[in-house]
Amino acid sequence: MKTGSKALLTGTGLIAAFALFFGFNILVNNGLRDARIDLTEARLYTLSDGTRNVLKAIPEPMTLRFFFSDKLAGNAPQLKQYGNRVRELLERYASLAGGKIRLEVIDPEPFTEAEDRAVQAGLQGAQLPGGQLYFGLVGTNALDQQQTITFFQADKEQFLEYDLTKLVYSLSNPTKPTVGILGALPLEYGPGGMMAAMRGQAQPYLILEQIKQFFQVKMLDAAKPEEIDDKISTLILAHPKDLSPQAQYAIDQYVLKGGRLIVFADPYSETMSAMPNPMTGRPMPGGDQSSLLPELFKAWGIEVASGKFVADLALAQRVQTGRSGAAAVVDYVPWLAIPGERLSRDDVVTAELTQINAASMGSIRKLEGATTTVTPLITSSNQAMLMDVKDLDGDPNPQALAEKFKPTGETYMLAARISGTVKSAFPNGAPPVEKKDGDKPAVAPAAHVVESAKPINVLLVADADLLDDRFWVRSQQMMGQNMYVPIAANADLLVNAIDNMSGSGDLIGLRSRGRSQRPFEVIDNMRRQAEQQFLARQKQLEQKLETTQKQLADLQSKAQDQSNALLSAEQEAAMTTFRDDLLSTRRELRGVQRELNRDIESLQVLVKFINIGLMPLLAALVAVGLAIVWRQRRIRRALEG
Amino acid sequence: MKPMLAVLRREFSGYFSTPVAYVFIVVFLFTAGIFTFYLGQFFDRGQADLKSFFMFHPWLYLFFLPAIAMRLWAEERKAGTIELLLTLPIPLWAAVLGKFLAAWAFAGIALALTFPLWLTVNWLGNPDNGVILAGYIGSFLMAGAYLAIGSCMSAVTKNQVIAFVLSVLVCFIFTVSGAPMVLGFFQGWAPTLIVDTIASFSFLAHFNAITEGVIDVRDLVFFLSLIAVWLYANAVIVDLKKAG
Repeated sequence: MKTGSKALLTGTGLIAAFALFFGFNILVNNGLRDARIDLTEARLYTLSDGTRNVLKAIPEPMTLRFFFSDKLAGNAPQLKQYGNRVRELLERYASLAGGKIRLEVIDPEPFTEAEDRAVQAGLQGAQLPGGQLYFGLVGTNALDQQQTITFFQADKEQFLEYDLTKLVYSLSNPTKPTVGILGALPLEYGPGGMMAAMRGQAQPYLILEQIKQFFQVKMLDAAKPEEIDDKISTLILAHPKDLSPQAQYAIDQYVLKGGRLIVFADPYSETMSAMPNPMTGRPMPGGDQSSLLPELFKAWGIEVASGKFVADLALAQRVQTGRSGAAAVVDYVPWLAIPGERLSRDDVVTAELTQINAASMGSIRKLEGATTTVTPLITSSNQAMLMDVKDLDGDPNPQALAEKFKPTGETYMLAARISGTVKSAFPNGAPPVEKKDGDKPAVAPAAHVVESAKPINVLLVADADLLDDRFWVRSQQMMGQNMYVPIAANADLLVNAIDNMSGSGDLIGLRSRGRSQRPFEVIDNMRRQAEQQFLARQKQLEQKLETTQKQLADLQSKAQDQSNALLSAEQEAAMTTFRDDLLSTRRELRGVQRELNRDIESLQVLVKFINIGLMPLLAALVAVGLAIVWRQRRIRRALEG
Repeated sequence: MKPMLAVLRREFSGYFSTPVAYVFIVVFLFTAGIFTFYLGQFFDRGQADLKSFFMFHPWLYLFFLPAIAMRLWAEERKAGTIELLLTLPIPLWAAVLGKFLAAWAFAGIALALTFPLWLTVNWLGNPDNGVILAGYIGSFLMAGAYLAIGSCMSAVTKNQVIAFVLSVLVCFIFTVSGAPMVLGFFQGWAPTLIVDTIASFSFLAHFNAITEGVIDVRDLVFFLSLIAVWLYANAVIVDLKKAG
């Protein structure tokens, strides 16, 4: 046998080889980054084009300081792994930005200057046995403006790229975006409307205060549609009631030209219907309280059911009612407390929100043949139906609504994101303006846009009431001051939406990256079906139980009436039958419950058998078969020999 | 190349001519299944992925693969056929590589036979098959690493049991070096660079990274260079023993 070069095969060679192995790997580990094959479906580990565009467009150099308590995180491998992921991603950003991003990685060890800097920058620390752990990012631009991510939460990993790109984007576009607000909702004056404001009793809606903290807000006048121009980065329609064709045309053109639009349109505004009439000072029942924009919606490929609201028993808020004497708490089906599960977890606007409170929401439907993509952001439960808004006029009775309630089993879309290329809702150009004498000649109209050049960006919430204070904040007296405590994330929804919409188109396009649930659909379907069957059967049996109990009670009371008389044999027999019936019905009900999961269980057993038992069994059979064949062959050979 | 292929073929068919191979496959498939469904709580997690399957591979391999590798050289030495092998006109590297590749191919077959699980998740839900593919690639690479260590340890002794114990021991070190408790031990006094380096030599860290669905060149380099260095050590040991 040849042994090749002898010198290589020695103990020294061996030591050298291991040293080489360790050294090489340490080098590769620290030097070779970002060389990877991404096999995930959503390309989780590949930066999107949106981010690349934002990075390429950075005008002035910026500094990103990444604070990560690397040493302290050593005890928590998961955290450490995520920390590495963030660091590597930031390094990738820096390398793609072509020198416009200066990245500093800082380990703020306890009781050091670096820790003080982290605290100063407003980073949040997490208390660990060894000290405070910091895991955040501070970005500063040439104007010394600062943007921070106070703590990278691991459960927000799917939005990591979005958050980082947003931070970079806002540092490279330092002016506050301008938000225009148009609509009938008196956000500036509060529930009393203009009249109250004139009396000096204006109570601006808190939600307006909230957005003023982050954005430049411009209140627009529906009578001056020319105000809707490209200086407005995001337009909000808050209950756009009775908009003139001119105003609608201005909105249409604004959207087609790439303007971002957030619509709160309501099939029935409870806020407005509760508004006092300026003449009488009391609310006026009846009247049209809707603010839908059917023509525009149609052009965008959607429709909101007019005159109907979504009643949902599973999401209904519980309200106090003083009807029928005693106070009681009942489910009020028009008012929804929508939990996180019903909000899209894949969209950055809703993913982090815990609850949205809304009232008499409309149902959004995508029209057939629509050229747009309609992505649901908020959906009802399947315990819902469409009810007539007339039922809400005056002083609606929760009990009566609950009795009318018959779930259709369908889930309704309550808010959605709409994108795609669309045509104008005004194919013939601007609607004619009625000229009055003495009118100044109108400004030369801008050229009519027939079709959007780029995909439009519209976010539609089929409710305007959720902007009203009473649905999402409680005021509390604290130390003699009025404190407002949010009870739902309505304001966050709006702030997130503006935040998302007023960014660059690249940013809006950055959606969550996969990580979403991949459930066992087959099992879930089985469970759903079984539950439905169970509910139906349960209802039947409960009805039967009720009738039997009633019959039994009747019989017993009859027997008591004829107190002294003995029960007739016939009555006694009937009672025995009823009792037996009762027992067997109860038993059956229990049985139904037990059976509910039997199919699923047997499926699981089958799957387990195939995966644990079947393959080993087949392998064993093959082995035995081969053994027999070989044995026979050997015997044959022995006989022949 | 030819002599290497000859060794590979001889070794590979050697596996299947004894019941050992079948017993191994049966036990491996059975254990992997049990771990996935019971320890991994496949149904309780309710997710259409193979996380609960791949999660236990490092620990399964820790015992199964040394058992495959232990006979590679120890058996030859005990039976005395090693002299025969070494006098044949085959380069040493071809013998070492051939034996190793035969064992690796065998492990690959055992791994491939878990395909019903892949079919199962595709039937039950809508998994990310890219991630699953990455998991299989990662698992196969890691199996190679365990086998290279096992093959080298098998050359150290003619007792297969000792070879098994030795390779479990070495593999164990490479597996747990990324585990939190081991790192915690170093954390107190060693600088971060050293702790990170220790962690970076763990099968767990590299394998877990791959099972996320992304094959990083660093993970690839780690497993392949680890296989190379242990096979080299294997050759050195065979050569030294021959001389001695």
